[in-house]
Amino acid sequence: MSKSDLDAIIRKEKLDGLIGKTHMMILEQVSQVDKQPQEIFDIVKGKHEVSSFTQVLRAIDQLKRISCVTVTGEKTTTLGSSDFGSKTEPTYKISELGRTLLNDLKK
Amino acid sequence: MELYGWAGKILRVDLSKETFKTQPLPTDMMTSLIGGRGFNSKILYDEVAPGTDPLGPDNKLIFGTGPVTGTIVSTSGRFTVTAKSPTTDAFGDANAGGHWGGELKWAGYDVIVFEGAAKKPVFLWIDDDQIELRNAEHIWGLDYFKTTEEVQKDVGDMDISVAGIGPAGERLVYTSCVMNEYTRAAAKCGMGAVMGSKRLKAIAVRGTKGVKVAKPGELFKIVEEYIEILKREDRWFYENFSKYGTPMFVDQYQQLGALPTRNWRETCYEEAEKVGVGPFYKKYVKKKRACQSCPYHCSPYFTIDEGRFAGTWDDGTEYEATGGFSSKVGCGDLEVALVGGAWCDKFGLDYINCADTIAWAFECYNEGILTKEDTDGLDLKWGNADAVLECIRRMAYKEGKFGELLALGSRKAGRKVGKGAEYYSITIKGQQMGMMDPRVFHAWGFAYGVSTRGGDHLRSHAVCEYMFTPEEMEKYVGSRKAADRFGFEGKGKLIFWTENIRALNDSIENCKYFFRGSPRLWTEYPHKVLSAVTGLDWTYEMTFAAGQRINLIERAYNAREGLGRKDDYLPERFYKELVPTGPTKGASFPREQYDKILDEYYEMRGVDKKTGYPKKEKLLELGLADIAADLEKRRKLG
Repeated sequence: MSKSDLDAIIRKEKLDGLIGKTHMMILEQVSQVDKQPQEIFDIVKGKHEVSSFTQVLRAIDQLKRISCVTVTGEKTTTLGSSDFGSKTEPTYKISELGRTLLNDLKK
Repeated sequence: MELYGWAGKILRVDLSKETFKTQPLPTDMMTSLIGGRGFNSKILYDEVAPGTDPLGPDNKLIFGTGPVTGTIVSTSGRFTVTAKSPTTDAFGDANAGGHWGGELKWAGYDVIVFEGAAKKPVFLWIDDDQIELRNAEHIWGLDYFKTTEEVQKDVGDMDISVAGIGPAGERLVYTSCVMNEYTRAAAKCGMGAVMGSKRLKAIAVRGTKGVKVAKPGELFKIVEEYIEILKREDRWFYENFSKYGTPMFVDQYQQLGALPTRNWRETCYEEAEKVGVGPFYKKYVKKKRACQSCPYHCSPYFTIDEGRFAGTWDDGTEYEATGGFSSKVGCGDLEVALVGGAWCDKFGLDYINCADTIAWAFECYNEGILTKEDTDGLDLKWGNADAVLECIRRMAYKEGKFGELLALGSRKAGRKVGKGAEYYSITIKGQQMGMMDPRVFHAWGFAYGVSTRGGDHLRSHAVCEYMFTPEEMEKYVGSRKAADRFGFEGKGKLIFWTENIRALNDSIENCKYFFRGSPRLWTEYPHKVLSAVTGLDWTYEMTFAAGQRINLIERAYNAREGLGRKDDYLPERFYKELVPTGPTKGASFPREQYDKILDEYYEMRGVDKKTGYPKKEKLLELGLADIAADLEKRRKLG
């Protein structure tokens, strides 16, 4: 899919102007190795005003809505961000469209 | 003009004279203040003079609904109770869910204003147009649950919705609230005590008239569309909150290093896992309930089936009970926290004000300020579970000299005790705050400070500080940096904006949780819903201006009572003490940074930076010339 397809999905999801550096940092984290939100948060916290794991969860959800990340499985967590009382949360990897977005954001 | 949404009537009940009258709801109030909180605030400003005794007959107790109350609009069963507060001696209100608000609208009233005080205990029975004050001497003294049953028997319908007070309200306890439908509390500001001072035990309502909606087909579509937006744009919260309700915040704030522990000394509790949603749902929760038209159904119904608390049940248990009666008092016994919450509902006590006052007493005791002699023999060592429950009971019944002390709430109790006890009272304008530490959520902390009804987590959408991405903050608040919960930039702007949105929510009379997760629910939904319900052409600008107007009326009320900039600060603890342990160790909220945020906020709010009083030009801009003239006369203009 092309950049124009991506833009169309972003518009459809009413996320125009809302995809930025936070999403770029997340995509970079899942571009080589599958990671869970907790692992991503541990790396990006304190950068670009990201100060809570809930912000990372929200940004990942936005990336899912525009098909830029996919769920690959689940791993143990101490964060409980998947489900309270649950000890696991999903892992994510970048999609083909996600790579298009990442390249675009890096520009 | 045919009215849609609003019923168009104010019911006035003079309890001293035992008379009723109805008057038309002024049309300019509808478009400028929308409903509920907005209506009530203006009525209070106009009718309750500065210096009025909050527990005297000249105070008024106002119940208000919004234009969407009683419709299919999500979370539309809510109402606001307003009076001069005995807790803050200033503006006071409280808001509750359930179905009672809908019943009042269906009976044909937007607002009830109670005036004077009854000679003997009474309850009000509204059966559409039939209004009656009935004798309540036989139920005076009962807890709120039994009160509900007795009132239902009295009116001959066990499904009737009953708002009322328990023993705490009857005894004028400053931490008391107005309950409805067993477990839904209009909790803040001691509204239960105001009701008790009027010897009004309960209000039972049956409404059968419905609410006229201008464009029902359009409304259906809007409601469905925005429920889907909520589920999609705030998926994680929607899924978890629907499953667990607010008790999940024990786990969440522990993880975020924000869980008030041992009277706000710390932000991380070593036994949090014992009182989190895992054990609560595994062993105790039996089912979930919802308020009227709510897509969340966040309210857990639980029972305790064995042990010394067997037979205890409650529903609507909140974080402020499971956390308030555990981490705040250093007691890792979940059953005690659950029983504490259930007792608060029965006795008609606010979880937050009650738990904070008890935590204050515990800290004073552990610091040697209170002794066993002061506590009538209770040992308030951190973690003493039996003492926690005994404090709740004695507070509700004002039992003994210690019960009398607790019943004052921690600010007034601190003043009475002296010896440094005031430092440990974690209050703003006399009201306890919430359950999120201000040192690790700077916008939230700031929102506590400037709230018009005193320390309060519900007066803004500060929660977006840790939910929204920096990109969302940039677009909607105009400051990417506002997304950093440990930062200081953009916080004044964020709170100004979200306070206006909250005032709007409270005046439409919708639950905060419905608006929580998506900025689109703030900027698109309210005016679309209002247009479909009322048939008028609402815009975002109109609704935002209403939010500003309501905030400024309340600030003007407080200015008239002598409250200003000096009252918009956090308790000293948060400026002086760093977070001592846990994941947010070392976090702070320096006073000079707070001052800068306050200046930024005042500028936007149209308030004088020196005094904290509203400025004339802002009042005039918002169409509040009458208030500007009144403040000018009293030399309270900024």
